[in-house]
Amino acid sequence: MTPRETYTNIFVESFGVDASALDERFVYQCVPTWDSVGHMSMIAALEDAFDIALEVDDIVDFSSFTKGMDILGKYGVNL
Amino acid sequence: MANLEYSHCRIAGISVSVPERVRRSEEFTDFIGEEGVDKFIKTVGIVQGHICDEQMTCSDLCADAAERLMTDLDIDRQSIDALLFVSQTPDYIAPSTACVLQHRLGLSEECLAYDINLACSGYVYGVSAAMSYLQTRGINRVLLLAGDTVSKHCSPEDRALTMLSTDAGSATLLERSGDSQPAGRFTLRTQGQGFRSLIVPFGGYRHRFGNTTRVEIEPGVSRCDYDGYMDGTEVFRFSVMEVPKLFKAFYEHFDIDASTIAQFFLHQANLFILGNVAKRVKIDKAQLPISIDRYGNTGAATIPTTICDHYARDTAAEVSDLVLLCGFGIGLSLGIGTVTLDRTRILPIGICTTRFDDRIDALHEDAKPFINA
Repeated sequence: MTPRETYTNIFVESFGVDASALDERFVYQCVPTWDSVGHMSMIAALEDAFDIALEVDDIVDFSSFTKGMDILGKYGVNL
Repeated sequence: MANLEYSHCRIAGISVSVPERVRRSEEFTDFIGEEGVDKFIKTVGIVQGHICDEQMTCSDLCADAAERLMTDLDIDRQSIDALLFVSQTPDYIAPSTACVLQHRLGLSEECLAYDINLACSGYVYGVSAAMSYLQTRGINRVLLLAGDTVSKHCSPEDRALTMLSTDAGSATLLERSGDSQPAGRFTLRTQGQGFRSLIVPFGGYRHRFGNTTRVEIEPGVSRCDYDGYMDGTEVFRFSVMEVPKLFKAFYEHFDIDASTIAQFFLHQANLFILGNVAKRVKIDKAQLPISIDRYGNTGAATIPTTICDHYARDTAAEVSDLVLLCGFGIGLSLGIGTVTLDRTRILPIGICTTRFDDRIDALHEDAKPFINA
């Protein structure tokens, strides 16, 4: 599985959405499942999958599907 | 800087009481679905918690814990010189619940009693306040009662808060001792600019009367003016950024060697926050007891609950250990400390079934005429 596929799958599983919904419009709280609990669950899954530890500011700034890709790039995860 | 060090005192015993009713997170399946519950358990860490009914309050839980502790330690109630009640869920706007508890527990009228209005950081502040009294000649024993009925603070239709919030009350007896070694060291801090991040906005005197009708704020979240509000992002940022800074300042100020600490008892905010804080301050998981899975987030009671659950899950124990306490949350308020448990009696968590009848309906009937006829 490519890093991009892993990233997409984590969003699909964390928020119960179809992969086709994941674009620049997929942002925090755009679906009921992306609330604070869903956010923590998603971050924990990303940290496990890519073996990284996100800084607090990055966890808080992780506000959309596309922004998350930029943030993961800082940790050497190129999507 | 609020850096405090105390000697010549010890924690004689700790007990915790919870209500009988157990609420399992699975009960929210209709609300957030089976998958949502599974994710909640995995991320927040709460499998179940104990919940009070309408009639039971935090003071009932604390009184039950105190009764069991004083009986177990065979304490003369007249020997208790101070009673501190730490909670954000008191019985009344006024008077201090501590005054009612002094009466209920049969303590001396020479006992000072008052409330401390703190929650998540409250146990650390309470132990520090109790130890500070024990530095003076006139106080030999302090009964610290700390707890919350957090479940009553929040809307049942606020999924993030209601699933997190549970109830417990604790009793900790502290007394003077002859030991000149440090019994407790504390660093206490406040970031009041964050007061809006965790708040019960109405019902006090800034906003006395509000709307009691719950309205939908966002999908799955309905609140009225009297329900608790939490800005999850700000609380997370505060917890994960400020608590590690607090650890660092505390360790540096007191020249603490973390390897000498046996256990780290942190406020059980949620599992994700606990894990993040532990990772940043390098706490080994084996030294980070967890009780949130079975008792939830009980505000001022999470630290003593975790202590009792860790040391006395099945049977009472006598414990001598250097332990760290750290509480952080509403205020925003935070505190950290190390305390030396010295033959401290720790009781298993008990179930409270008693409810105080304050005869409030007879308030006016009981009023005596100013002048006897």
